[in-house]
Amino acid sequence: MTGWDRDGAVVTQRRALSSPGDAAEVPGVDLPTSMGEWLARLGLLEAVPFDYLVPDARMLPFDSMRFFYVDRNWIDALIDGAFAIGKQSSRDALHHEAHAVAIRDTGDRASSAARAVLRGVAAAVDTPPPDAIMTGLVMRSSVVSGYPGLEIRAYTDSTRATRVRLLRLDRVAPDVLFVLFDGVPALVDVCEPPEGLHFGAVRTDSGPETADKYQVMLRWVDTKTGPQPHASGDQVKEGCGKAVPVDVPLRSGGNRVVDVAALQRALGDALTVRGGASGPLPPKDMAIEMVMAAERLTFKTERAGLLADSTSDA
Amino acid sequence: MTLATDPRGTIEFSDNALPVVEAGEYTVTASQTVAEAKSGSTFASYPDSQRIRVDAPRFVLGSGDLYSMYPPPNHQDRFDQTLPHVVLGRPTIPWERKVDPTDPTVPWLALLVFDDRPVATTRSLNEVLQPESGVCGPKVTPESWEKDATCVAIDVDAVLFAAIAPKRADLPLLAHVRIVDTEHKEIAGVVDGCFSVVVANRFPAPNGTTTVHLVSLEGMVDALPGGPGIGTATTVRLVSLASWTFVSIAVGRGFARIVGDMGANASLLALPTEMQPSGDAPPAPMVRAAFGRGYTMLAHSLRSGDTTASWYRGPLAAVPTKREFLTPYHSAAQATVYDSETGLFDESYAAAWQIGRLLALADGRFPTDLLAWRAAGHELVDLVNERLNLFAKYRHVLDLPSDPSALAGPDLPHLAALGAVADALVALAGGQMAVSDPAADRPKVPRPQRRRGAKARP
Repeated sequence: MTGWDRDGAVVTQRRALSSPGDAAEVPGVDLPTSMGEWLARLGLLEAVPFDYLVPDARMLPFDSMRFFYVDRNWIDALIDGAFAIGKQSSRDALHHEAHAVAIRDTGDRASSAARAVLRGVAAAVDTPPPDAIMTGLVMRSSVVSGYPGLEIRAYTDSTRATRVRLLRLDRVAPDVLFVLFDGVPALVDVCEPPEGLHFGAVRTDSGPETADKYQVMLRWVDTKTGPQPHASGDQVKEGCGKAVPVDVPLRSGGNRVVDVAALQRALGDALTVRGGASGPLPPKDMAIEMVMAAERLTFKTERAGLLADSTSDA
Repeated sequence: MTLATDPRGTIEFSDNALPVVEAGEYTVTASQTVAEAKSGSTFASYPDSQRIRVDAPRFVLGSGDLYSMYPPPNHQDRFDQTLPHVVLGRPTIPWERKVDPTDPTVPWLALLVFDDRPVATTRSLNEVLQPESGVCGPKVTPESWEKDATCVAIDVDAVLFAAIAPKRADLPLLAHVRIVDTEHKEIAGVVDGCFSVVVANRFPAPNGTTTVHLVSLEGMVDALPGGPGIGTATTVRLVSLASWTFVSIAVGRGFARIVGDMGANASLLALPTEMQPSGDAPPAPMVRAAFGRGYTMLAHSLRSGDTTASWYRGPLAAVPTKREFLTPYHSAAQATVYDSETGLFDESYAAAWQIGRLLALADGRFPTDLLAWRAAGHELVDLVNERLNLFAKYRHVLDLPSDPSALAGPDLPHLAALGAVADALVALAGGQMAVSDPAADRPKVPRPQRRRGAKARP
């Protein structure tokens, strides 16, 4: 190849900065791809000491839930500080300045995709608009430690038509849950974890313990269309929408021990006479019968003061 | 970015998940035979074998095997209508060992619910498998590598065990598999959302402390109620893989009440405005307004040695903020904002910048990556710069075209795509090229100029 040497002569130079046609990173120009992960960590405030996020414990008392808007300028300053290490000359500073936009865009893109990457699902590759609003929720409560797998679902409207994507959902302390939303949710659902849904029954709590009586409300285990449509898991309704209770058989001895095999028969019989099963229920259908409905609590974020179209703070 | 799916969420139940290969030692044998193509007569055979060991939890659970338990450990609530359960991180765990060698669908794990706390002791495997007389232990033959293991064991009165332990026929009904969507939950090592669940067969006492043990029933089929019995033994010794305790009370709050109360009092993350920052004087309206925007006031030691109070707000604000693109900063001081209204500094962004530096320095990889990237950038700028100077110097001598972009020759194919770097370079070296003396001996390396002044940029 023809090139130039230091003395000005036209010489053959074999210096390849990057192989031609290689669309991958150009050394010295593009941000190394390895930095994306680091930028995502900063962009989603991972590793930032909690004191920097909530500087005063009175802002987040025990058993409280607080919404917030993310100040992107703060995160920009955080990332800027990280890129400022080892700067020795104005030339280093200029290099940083020349790449400011690239650093910002890479960070925005990596933050947006980070959760999808961690979950191993397809990630959005578009760069989100630089002025996109991020909001979030921080919750400090014993339910955070007591219910691992707690679910947070957020929607842009009260009809739950459009979902707000989660950017981050982490327990930052055993009892503190930290959530970042990609947008401003109007509705937030806090749900009991379905894999942890417990088995239970309604106890008629009167009389001595030997007189304990437990009942479960019968559910369909199949899905049917037709005159009486129902889905698996729906409660069986009779008459004017009345639920059908089934007594939980207990072993004798007053130890509150369920006679599981007898319960299997009782549930199977109750469903069979209603045409919903044939004979004893398999373990998965027993689970459907015995599981208590997941609690879902819905919050209107507007009531907490989080507004979608409020004017910006000067 | 928004997604739309079924808002109710779904959960899928399955009877069991049997492991493809049972735990134990295996020998994989392979052999290749070489035969003559025409006659088909074999003249060589190459056999080989490899011993492999398939492991599964037996006397202890692996880390991550236990995902969660309900009722939550050490919680106090109304739990008397609940059958306690554990969620296990892998779907096959309850079927990885056998209670009944003839039926692989019988899980080997069970939950025993105790009104009083049985003593859990760490014992050697020998003490568990060959207990003293009068005690019935699991009839299990340990593998050679397990012989020195220790485990946690509980001793249960045989009468109590017969009363509360599940029957053999109950066991398959007390374990199942759940498949859930993990989109809305903490990731924490669980990605596929496939869990196994083991449920107890006994309701906790309405008032009082309850202890639950996850026990192994491998080798215990005789001792189960309805089984052949354990002869004269009065105590049953069981391997306990996990245990926890909770308190059941008559009137509890429950998940819905706790979360509901929290939601009713939900607000934006800010100090309560009735809060008094210091002393007894009520806060001035200005201070209250700042609190309402999410600010706090923190003690601040200045570089001069003085101490003052400064405003601070973290990245979590109580009001929407506009992204101003204020970076890069060259020092923390540059990110400090002077609030002329209160005469105080706002150190929010300065603190962010500093913690960013500290996090970067504390990271194992980032500093090396950053310096290497910067060095590569400088190298490229040097090269381009040199090229520009040489161009100015020899343009007339060599009769080159007047456009310096011609320099983006085949050895610098990406020069035209430099973008930001090229822009900066033109800012730096553009003038330099024009004033370069064609007769000069050496190309001048231009000195970069400090260009920063004002904090805010459009």
